[in-house]
Amino acid sequence: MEFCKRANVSIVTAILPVARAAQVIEGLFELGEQSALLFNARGTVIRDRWYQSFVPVISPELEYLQFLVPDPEVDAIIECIITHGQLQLSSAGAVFSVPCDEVEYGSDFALWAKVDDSSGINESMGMKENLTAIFCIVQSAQVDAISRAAMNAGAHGPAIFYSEGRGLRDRLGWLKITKKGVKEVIVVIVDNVDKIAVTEAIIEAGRLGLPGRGFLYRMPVQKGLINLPSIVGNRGNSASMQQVVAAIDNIKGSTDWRDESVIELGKAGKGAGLNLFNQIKKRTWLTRQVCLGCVVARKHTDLLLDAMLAAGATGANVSFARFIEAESETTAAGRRLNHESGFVRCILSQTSAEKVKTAIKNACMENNISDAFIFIQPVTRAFTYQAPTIADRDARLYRGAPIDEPTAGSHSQKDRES
Amino acid sequence: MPLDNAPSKTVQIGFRGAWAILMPYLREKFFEQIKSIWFIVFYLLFFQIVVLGFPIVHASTIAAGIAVVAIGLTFFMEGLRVGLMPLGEMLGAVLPRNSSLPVILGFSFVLGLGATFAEPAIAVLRAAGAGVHPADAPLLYSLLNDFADQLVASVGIGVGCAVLLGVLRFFYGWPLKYLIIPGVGALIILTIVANFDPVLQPILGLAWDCGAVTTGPVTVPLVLALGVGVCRIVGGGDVKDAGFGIVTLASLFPILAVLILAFYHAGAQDYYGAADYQGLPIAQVDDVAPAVSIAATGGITPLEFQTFVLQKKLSDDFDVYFEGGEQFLRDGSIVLRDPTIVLKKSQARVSDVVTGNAWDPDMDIVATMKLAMLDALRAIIPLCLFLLISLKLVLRDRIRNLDEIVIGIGLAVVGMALFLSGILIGLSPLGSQLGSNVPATFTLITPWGMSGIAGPLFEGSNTGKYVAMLFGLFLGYGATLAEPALNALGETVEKITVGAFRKKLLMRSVAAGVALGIATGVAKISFNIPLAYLLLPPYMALMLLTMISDEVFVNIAWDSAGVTTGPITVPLVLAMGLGIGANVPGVIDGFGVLALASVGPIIVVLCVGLLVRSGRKTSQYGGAL
Repeated sequence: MEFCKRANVSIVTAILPVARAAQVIEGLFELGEQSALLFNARGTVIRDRWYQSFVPVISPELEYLQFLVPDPEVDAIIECIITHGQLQLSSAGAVFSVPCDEVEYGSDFALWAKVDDSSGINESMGMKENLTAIFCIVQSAQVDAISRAAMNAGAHGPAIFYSEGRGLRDRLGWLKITKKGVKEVIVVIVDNVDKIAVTEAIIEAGRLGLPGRGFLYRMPVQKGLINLPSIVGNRGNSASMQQVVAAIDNIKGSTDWRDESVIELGKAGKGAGLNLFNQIKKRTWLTRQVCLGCVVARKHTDLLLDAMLAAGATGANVSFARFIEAESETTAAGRRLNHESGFVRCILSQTSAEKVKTAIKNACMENNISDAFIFIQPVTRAFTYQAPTIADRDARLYRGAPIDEPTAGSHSQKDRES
Repeated sequence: MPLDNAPSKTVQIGFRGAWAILMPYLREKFFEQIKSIWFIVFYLLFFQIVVLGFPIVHASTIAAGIAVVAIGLTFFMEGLRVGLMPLGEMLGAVLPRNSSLPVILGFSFVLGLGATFAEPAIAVLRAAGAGVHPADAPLLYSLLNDFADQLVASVGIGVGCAVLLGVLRFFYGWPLKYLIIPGVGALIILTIVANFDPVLQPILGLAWDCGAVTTGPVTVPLVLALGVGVCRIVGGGDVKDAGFGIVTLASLFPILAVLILAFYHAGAQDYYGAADYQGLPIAQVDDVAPAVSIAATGGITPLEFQTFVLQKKLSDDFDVYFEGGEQFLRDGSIVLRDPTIVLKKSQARVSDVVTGNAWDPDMDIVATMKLAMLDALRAIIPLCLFLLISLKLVLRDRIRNLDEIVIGIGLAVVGMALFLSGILIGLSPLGSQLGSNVPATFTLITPWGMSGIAGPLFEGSNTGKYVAMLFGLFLGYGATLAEPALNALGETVEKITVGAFRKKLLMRSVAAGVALGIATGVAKISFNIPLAYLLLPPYMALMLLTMISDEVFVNIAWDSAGVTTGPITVPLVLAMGLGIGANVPGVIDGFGVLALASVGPIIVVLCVGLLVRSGRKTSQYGGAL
């Protein structure tokens, strides 16, 4: 039992309405993809008429799909998702790819074998390259305020899925029954031009600067197509404001034409937090962080989680997903019999990431777990409550010089943050 | 060895620490339950004291009982969350990969059958049919008495088939609609046929109520979790069926089974009074308290009349009325010439409580608790053992989180014992007090536990009955919100849809539906309308709604019908049904109210679904969803 190592792998994520997910998955399997992770998620409801506030709130159900794709295939995969999911339509969904710095996987994990460099992307799809993914992990009660604030600051309606906050709970013994740490993960993909405003809005609305409120991190997106509903439009017009803005983006070829000052100053945190002086606060960001993720069969999740916590991860988020394989057993009626996977994610410093990764690998070796998949993705910024200590103040100095923006991993040349 | 050099795998917590963690947790959970039961409790008190104007008899006993209900529900819901539901879900997720389809189907059937015997509803049905006289409804009487075992067995087989078919559905990906529409169609036809047969007509209420009462607070969460577990594994990208639907089938199939049983016995002519009757020739009839006639309590008896003739004197107070005659004023006095003088016994309109004792002396707390504990053990332990053993056999591996599951099962047993005894001590007496007092709105009765008579409180022949319907409306709403099975369903729905369909919205829609259903049920009893006329139109409307609704909403809506009638609603509703029924001439049983309470939620939830869909169409999502 050993681990294969591979570079140049990206994680392609698609956010789709439930009805389209099955077509997309089957389409990708035909293309050569081996497996898909399927999370249930929900979208955010937008009301554009006052009377709709009397209609009960049932957010649209979405599927949050993740695929592991070798970099040369990313374009083909994204195009396939766009075609099958009809993502070019307004408000149909989103697809984006985030590169991994490192990928290691057990011998039984089927990863795309053939790599074909020839396929190119259809330019008419209108893919964007200057995007940032913002992930925010909070308690359920905060989600509505954060979603509203993010949308006010220019983001699309966030996609939300569940995740279990783990860490301390697993060390409590039988008292763990008192803690069922269900957290919600809010995912927003924004143009780089909007990222500061949206991040600020989320931090203000979620009051993430206070202890125990939540965690936020940003990842650079290589490319993507975001067609999730965002700006509330007038139904009387033939195109919504969102469509108009997207069309101009297309003509201009970038989002640089947009008026940044309006977004940043006028609407930052308008949703909930009080921002009296209309200015961006100085934040203490967590720097030099990476996102260490691990996908493993559900029954082994706890085991690896223990190993990760023991090796120095302070906490982790676990989401359970269907693991759909291209070649799976089926029922008599031809329905797939899937596996369940635990998707463990933690944000930690680069140095401890290596340690934790080694611990996961050791645990897999020892228990003969051969279907684990470990990856490290760059995190450009992370934010949460940090207890003010002297050690913290020193850490912001690197060899006597203050650190501003970290450079994370081998993909930093693609990182358009700077 | 990553675990060996761990700083500490478990945190060392002393007793104080454990207490500090446990207390806020328990407090939070307790207040959650208080939130769910306060409405029904205050509503019942309000109606008894303010609207009817009677005091609460045995108030302390009832208060103690309600407190016990709240504590019991706290434990029980935690038991479901920590133990029972994860167990069902784990088993569901393990089954499809590790065993063959026939084994899974066999397991499903046994689970359904076992669940019925674990939570027998026959006691409830007996209570509803307590006033049935063999002469009025011979077949119904025979089913409840001579063929009670067959009745339970057929309900059990019905539930077994339902679970089997429900699980099979997941493997084949059949939409629930395709099972509901033919199933309900068959039920409607059988009901129409039975409605025109004088022998079969009375059993309709029993049959339809069987569907409503079979799914109890232990069965529903287990079966729900099982379905959810299976659906975690089976299927492609489409999560159209997220594990719901078994509960629906488990409420339809027993109706079918009981109807078939009834048709069989009607054909075999072996019910009471028929040609081949094998039972006792003189049947034992459980007499309910007969309706109190005005002449018996309020009028002057022949004996008193005799005394009056002999002694020109009545023992009690009496009122004198003058009818007819001429009146005129003479020298400052009114003179009546040739009037008819009527002497009536004066009636105390304000009744007195028989006993001022706030604690019910007949209530044996220890015996009640023991009874409830036995019920709880019987309902939970065999079923859980069956599931654990199946899991062990199928998995052939260590069961994960066994400690949590065992703690959960323990909590569920303790919780159920407490809340069942709380219901017996507090909620049920309050319900029966109120149930027998509600008819005071439209007729003259002796209030429960009091002497003297009261009523009719409202003028007009029907106003009082409308007030009673209104009472049923809010009773249904409040009681449903407190139902543990519905809470479990709400949580599951919220979890499966990742918060898209909120628990609160589901519970309120369902409660509104039950409220409408129970109000209709009160109308059925107080105006003595045949059940078929009230059941068939809604079910036909339901077929239509089901056809045009989304599969997701069909699943959730029909499942919520099965969970509405649980340990809190049933005693309250039955007490009211029997109380009203006893005061309306011609009503022979209290059946049918529960069946009507199951239709309401389906209609309301489906309508909410349609409303949401139409709202969504106009929103930004366009045709994409």
